[in-house]
Amino acid sequence: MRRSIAAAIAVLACGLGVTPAWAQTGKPAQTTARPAPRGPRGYEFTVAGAWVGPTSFGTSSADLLTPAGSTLTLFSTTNDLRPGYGLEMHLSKRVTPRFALEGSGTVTRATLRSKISLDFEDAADVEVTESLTRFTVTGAALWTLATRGQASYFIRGGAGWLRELVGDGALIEDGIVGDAGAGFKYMKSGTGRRRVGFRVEGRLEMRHSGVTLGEDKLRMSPVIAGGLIIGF
Amino acid sequence: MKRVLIGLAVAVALFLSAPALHAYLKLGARIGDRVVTLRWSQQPIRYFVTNRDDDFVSADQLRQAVGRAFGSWNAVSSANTSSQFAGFTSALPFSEDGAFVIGFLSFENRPDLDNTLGATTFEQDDVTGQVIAADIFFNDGFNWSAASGGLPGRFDLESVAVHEIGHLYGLGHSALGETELVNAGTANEGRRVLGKRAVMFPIAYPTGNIEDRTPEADDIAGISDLYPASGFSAQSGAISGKVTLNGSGVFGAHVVAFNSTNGAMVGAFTLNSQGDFAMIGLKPGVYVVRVEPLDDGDIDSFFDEDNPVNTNFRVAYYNKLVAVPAGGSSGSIEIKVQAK
Repeated sequence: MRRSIAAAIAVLACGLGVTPAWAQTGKPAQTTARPAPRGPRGYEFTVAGAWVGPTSFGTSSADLLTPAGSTLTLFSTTNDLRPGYGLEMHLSKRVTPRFALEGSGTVTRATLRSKISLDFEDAADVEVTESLTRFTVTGAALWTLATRGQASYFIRGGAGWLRELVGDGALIEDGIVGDAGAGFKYMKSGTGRRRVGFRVEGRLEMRHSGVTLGEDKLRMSPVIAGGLIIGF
Repeated sequence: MKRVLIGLAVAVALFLSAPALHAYLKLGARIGDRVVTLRWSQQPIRYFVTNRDDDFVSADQLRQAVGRAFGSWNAVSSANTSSQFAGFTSALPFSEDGAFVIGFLSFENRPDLDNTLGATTFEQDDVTGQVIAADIFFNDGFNWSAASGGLPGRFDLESVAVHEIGHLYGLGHSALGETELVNAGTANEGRRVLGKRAVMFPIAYPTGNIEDRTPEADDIAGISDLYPASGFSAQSGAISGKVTLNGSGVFGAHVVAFNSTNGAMVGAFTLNSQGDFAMIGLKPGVYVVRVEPLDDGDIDSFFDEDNPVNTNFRVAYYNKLVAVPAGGSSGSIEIKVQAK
């Protein structure tokens, strides 16, 4: 049973494109013998602020069809989702000294934008926008790469469900979300039942379906998050 | 019974007192003091085809082209329409015979129809407003083609049939297109299509072109509004609102909703003095909404001269993206325009 768990972890690590430190040195690094600092029961609760990078939806034109079969553009749009900000929470449970499972929930708010140009009747270029609110619920796996004192470095991969609301919720679209990234945790040393620290990470978030202003269903954007950890 | 010959400008004017929520231009007729939207209550529509050959198209080729044209509308999954070929007939279109006849007709003595490729007429019960029969004619003064790929120098019969059958089902004209005036001031003055995006645009593509054989998003929204299939209302959404100039409603403004995810455009008109409009049958999503005045030279394709269409304003966009939910509406939006 233990072997099968170890194999699964190794596959996951390789799948994420990361080679564990011991595989490079031929023997386990000293840091691996010690679990990453956590609370006594191996739980961590993180509350973090997040910045979500922009997503381009490309350009799209309102085209008429000419008698020759070409297009006559009534107007053109360049569309994107502007950078947004949000709040995220993670509850993770250590499974092995290096491996933890995590459930996460996020809420972010950003702005859909369409820049309109090339109007056939020479209307001035304009920019029209609408707010977008996104909720995600994901499950993720964390692998601790290395521990240095009270700091640890990890990689993370997860997937889950998303819901996006445009404006005041007039339009609601669901989709799926996946992410992969890496981060850093620092846990303040202590002897009580609870420990505190902070966590900073960067992820690449991939979203499928949901609200879009373009033809591509798969969209990506960077996410940077940082916040407070409570270990218990 | 009363035969009502539908000239489109008249038909549009007749429709104006219908509820603003149905702002696609549809055909209708005044029955007493009320306006009845032209809509077939019984389907399939049974039609006859004249047994007369044209110089370029045989009666059987006409039957096939008309069958394909009906098929294009009947294939719209969000609408419930159906038709049935009832046989060939020696009767001519435009005769008050209670039958639905499609065929070629000579209009040598009708100079007002010299530039008309085709037209649709209706017979309606003058008490109930119910459609009793209809005819479609194709002007045999033009060179026609029924070839699958079209032919240079000839108008595509199937394309024009799709347009006329759209009228037959009750659709008015769409304004999703741009034209230019040609041969101004001469006997051959007319308008030429620069580009369009609706089969129901009033001006046909030139000869050799077959692009009008398939209904576009605007046509599909209109036919689905008239004959909604099961689930249509729940699966599509609407944008409604008003167009104002200095605080007053604008009549006859053309409003276009553009979906950047699929490039689809759907148009509607403001049809009352408050400037109210509505577009239904939109795919759920996020839309850019643009409003423009009708082309000065093209107004009579949409409205009759008794209606004070305002063309004295500049093209404008609604200042926000508009979210259209499934089974619901965007909520009312106001698009403010400025005078030219």
